[in-house]
Amino acid sequence: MSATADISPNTIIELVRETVLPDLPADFGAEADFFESGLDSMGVMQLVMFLEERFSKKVEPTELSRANFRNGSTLAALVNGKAA
Amino acid sequence: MSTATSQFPITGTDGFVVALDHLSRAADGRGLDALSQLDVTGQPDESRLRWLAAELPKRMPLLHATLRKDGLFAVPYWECSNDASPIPIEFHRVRGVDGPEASEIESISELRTQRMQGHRRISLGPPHIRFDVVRTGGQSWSIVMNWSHLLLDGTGVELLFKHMNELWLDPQAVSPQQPVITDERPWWKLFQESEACGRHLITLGAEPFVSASKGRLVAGRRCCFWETFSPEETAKIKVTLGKIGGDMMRTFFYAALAARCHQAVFHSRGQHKLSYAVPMPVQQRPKDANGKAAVFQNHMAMFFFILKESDLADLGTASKALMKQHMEHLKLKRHLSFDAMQLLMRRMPGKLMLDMVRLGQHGEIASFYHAYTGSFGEGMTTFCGGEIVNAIHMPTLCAPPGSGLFVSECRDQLTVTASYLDSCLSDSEADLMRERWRSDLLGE
Repeated sequence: MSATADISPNTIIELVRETVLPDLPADFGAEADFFESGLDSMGVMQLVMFLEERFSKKVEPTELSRANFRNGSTLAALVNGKAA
Repeated sequence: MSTATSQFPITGTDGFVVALDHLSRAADGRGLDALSQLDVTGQPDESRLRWLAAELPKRMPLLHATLRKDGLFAVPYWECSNDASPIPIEFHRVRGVDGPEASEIESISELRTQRMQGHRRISLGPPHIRFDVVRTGGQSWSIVMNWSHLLLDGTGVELLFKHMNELWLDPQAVSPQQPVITDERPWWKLFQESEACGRHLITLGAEPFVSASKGRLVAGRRCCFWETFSPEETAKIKVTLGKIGGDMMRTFFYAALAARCHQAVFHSRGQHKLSYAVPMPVQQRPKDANGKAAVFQNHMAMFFFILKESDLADLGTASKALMKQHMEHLKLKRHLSFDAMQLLMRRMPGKLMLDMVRLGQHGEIASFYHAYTGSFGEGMTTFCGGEIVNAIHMPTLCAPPGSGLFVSECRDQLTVTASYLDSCLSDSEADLMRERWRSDLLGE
């Protein structure tokens, strides 16, 4: 991902809304918790697939943590290779 | 629950459970009834617990509902009645413990065995749950819920315990509303959408997988034992698992663990180079208008995987093999096809459904059952006036497959539970499973 611009949290939120959580409110913030909004383990695995399809981000097993998938900011950091 | 709603069609997962319950009753006359136990500090408050047992059916009429089916291939449904009589609740004390309870029992394990084996077992349904409250010490007690898998799954049981505690704290608390799950697709549409699932199951049937029951329909004594790891051991286990993958992979870890524990048994029988058919239940729970998750009915997306001997070299390899297959399922949208097949098959009489499944799979259904229910009651720490010390589920199962491994967590303690019929697994083989889970999780 280094040659391209970073993916923003808002882009990630839009992807989550399109794919697994269609009822996310329009003002869903970058720090708002996806799990509290209904993201479950099934949704996480679907997101893993969509992240690979959309951003060519292959999520490693060790990156499959609740912390990485918690919100738009953490997920964007993961996609951008900057996960904590 | 809305008073206007009195009929609840069964879910696709319910349909499979209805068929398994039929199998269980055909074998020994008893349905798929399970036990769950909460260990709590303090003293049981009999009058308030009796109030709870009386209050629940008034708020949750499904507890007294009857399962009906209007035609051979009609969708079965739960029909609520006007019966709101209290849930049966008995109070006991363990011998040697002082208390006002007239019923003295030798031990809580003896009571569990009686409930599970049938000597003092009272058939469930309706009502579909019953309680035993046991004073186990001066400042400790346990509540044992006997529940029917027809109406509840493990997560639903936890949500029910959680709601009991909410009512304990606030008698006016709003109860979860059970959503009515409907699907308007005609059977032929579901049939078309089931094609990918059907093809996958045929592929699965081509693998020489086995179960502890060897594909036989057999009865047996229902056995269950578990090991609860201390918070320190549980922390160590999480470090071990963290080296394999993140915490969202736990379902795969524990499914892989179940496979490896069964592998230890089959190896001891001289059965090497086997394949293992692994059913993977993934919770998909609907919520009501208030955001409260449905308490009743079985709500799972089902996946079916195959692990070969080479996949089972260690826990990491097995977990990653399962995850890889899971991703393939998602890419091919097989989970949607599985959902369609479950919705189609819920119309079938239980025997016909299982005959069809077993016909393509040499009499087998799966190599074993397993489930991971996560943190008990979404992390609840208190129950009816006391602090929760531990919580354990004791599922029962039928043969085939005749054995299973179940994992749960409570208060930072992991519990691994083996459930089996003694006609399928001996006690010494169950010990082999325990040795394997200790070596895999703790490196012993």
